Amino acid sequence: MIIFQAKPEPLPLKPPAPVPGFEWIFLVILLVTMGLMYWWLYVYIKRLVPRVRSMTREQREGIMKGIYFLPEKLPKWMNPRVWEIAMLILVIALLVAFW
Amino acid sequence: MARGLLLGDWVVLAAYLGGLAVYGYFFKRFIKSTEDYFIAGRVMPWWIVGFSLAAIALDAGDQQVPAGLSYNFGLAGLFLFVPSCVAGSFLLSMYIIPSLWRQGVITNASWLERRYNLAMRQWGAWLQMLQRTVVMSSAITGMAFLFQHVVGTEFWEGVLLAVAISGFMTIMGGMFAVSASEIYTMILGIFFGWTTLSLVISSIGWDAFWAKVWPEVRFVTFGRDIVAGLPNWLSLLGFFLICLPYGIINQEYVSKSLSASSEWQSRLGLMIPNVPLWIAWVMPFSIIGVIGRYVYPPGSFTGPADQVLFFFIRDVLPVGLIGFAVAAFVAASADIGGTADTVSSLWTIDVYRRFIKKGAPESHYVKVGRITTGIVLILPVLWIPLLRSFPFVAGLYIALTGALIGVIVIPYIVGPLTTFFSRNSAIIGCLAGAVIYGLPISVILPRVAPDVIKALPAWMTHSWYIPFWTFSITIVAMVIVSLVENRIKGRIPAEELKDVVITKPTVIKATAMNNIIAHRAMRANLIGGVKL
Repeated sequence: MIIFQAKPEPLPLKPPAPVPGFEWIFLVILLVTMGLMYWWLYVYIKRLVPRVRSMTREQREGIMKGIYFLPEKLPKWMNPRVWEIAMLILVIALLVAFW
Repeated sequence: MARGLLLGDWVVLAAYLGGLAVYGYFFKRFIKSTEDYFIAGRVMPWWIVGFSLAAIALDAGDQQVPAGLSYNFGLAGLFLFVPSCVAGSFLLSMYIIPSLWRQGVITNASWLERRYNLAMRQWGAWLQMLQRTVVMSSAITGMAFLFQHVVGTEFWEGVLLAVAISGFMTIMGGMFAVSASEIYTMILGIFFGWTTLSLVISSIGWDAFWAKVWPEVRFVTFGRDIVAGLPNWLSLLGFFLICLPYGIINQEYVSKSLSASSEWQSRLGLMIPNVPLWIAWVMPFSIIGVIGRYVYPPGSFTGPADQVLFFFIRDVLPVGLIGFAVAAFVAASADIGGTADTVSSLWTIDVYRRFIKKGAPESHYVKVGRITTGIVLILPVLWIPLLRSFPFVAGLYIALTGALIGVIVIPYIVGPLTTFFSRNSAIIGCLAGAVIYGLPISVILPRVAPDVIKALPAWMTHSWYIPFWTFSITIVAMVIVSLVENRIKGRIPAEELKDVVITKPTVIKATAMNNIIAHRAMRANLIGGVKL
């Protein structure tokens, strides 16, 4: 299926010298970032829960069925179509840059 | 030769997975019922939806596949995700999701029945199940390679371990699969990719990277042909067509999009976080694949090229990061279970409930779904021997998609745009594309009459080029059948396809009832507004 036309000259691999105790430093960074991220999300979701619990039956049913509408009075940059165009430009730029 | 895990690796691995479990436990306290979980999922803002979308789209297999493809085809390996899968996200956001959303469907195959007919729904559901099992087998193979090269198991022991771990993660689903946790998984995945890349470049030396490897980090203009004798840009176009369906006919991806609080949130989630995250996560693995060709040249190992990622993890990463790499793959394996759930939902909703047992209580279908999920986790193992015979793991996916599955995307793309395409056009078009060209050229002739295939030019037979023909045959057949059917029966009345055909996707008019609910909810800052 694949035809290898050129066999590249192998490059030697010389991994950087290990930093003593790196794994423990990394463990601390992992635990701290994990703790911060989880705490932030926990607070965020905790604030969301009372809102969800206080919904009326009508609102719950509406969500289960799927509500569709274009929210009013939103800044233009929050329109999905603006972002579709922005991302299209990003992808085309990437394609051109690495052509 | 495997490296094995050291104490520091085990500690990091335990800390990461333990952290996920504790996190899941705390969040589970908020969820008293499945309805709570479902509704909570539907009040999530666009940015959480977008992160979750990217996280479920990019599983364990999606970290190794770009490396394997880029090893063989330069940065074209990145094309699997950018821009072909991204183009799928565009089409979904622009008008396909609005059409699905307004029908209130749970599976994307159900939409095919609303727009076309039952036969098309069944064709779509079964082929999607087939495709998903191949995707699962890629992820399981990736994990097995990781266990083989890094931890030191035999390959098939690694497979068993991967199936067991993903089964465990699926059973523990409620514990681990909290949508918000996917944000952290995603960020760590990106961190892992770029850290591994920087260590790999440091290991070969920046000078060698700029001088030798950088000229290969291109989509088109690098020093070899993707397919001998044919221009690279044409191969890339074929690759684009093969990968375009990935997002669109991916039930897992579509169901996540449909779980946003509104159509608007869903579209915003698909665009703002989803697209850049895909690029940020997948790009380092693609560049690692390109470098891999220089460090582990063709012929220096046997089996799929995807293994280079695990060679680098074994040879370059320090203690601690290796444990983290294993943990990241194990955490991402929850997505294998998620894919099994997807296959299970297609089977339960589109086949079992539709034909075998109608009108049973919801609890019965949940039970059937759970049993099916367990069975589905075993099916991908059957693909693995075939998958390993390809030069890269995604080879089987590409062959199957080009020959048989990819054409299903055409009815999804054209169906919501116009009432012109008739009820029977989709199934006839898809069968024509697959039966007239895809299956004979890809599957039957190479086995029955290999000489005939060898005599034909590459632009007719190569995997990269087959979609040109299958897609073209499908669309032409759909137009012809529609012309004939419309002449005999007349066009499908616009009323029948109300909100299925989306002529102006940006103008979204709510129904009266939904409008009232939506505005009440907005006033209460519950859904849809920017305050979330």
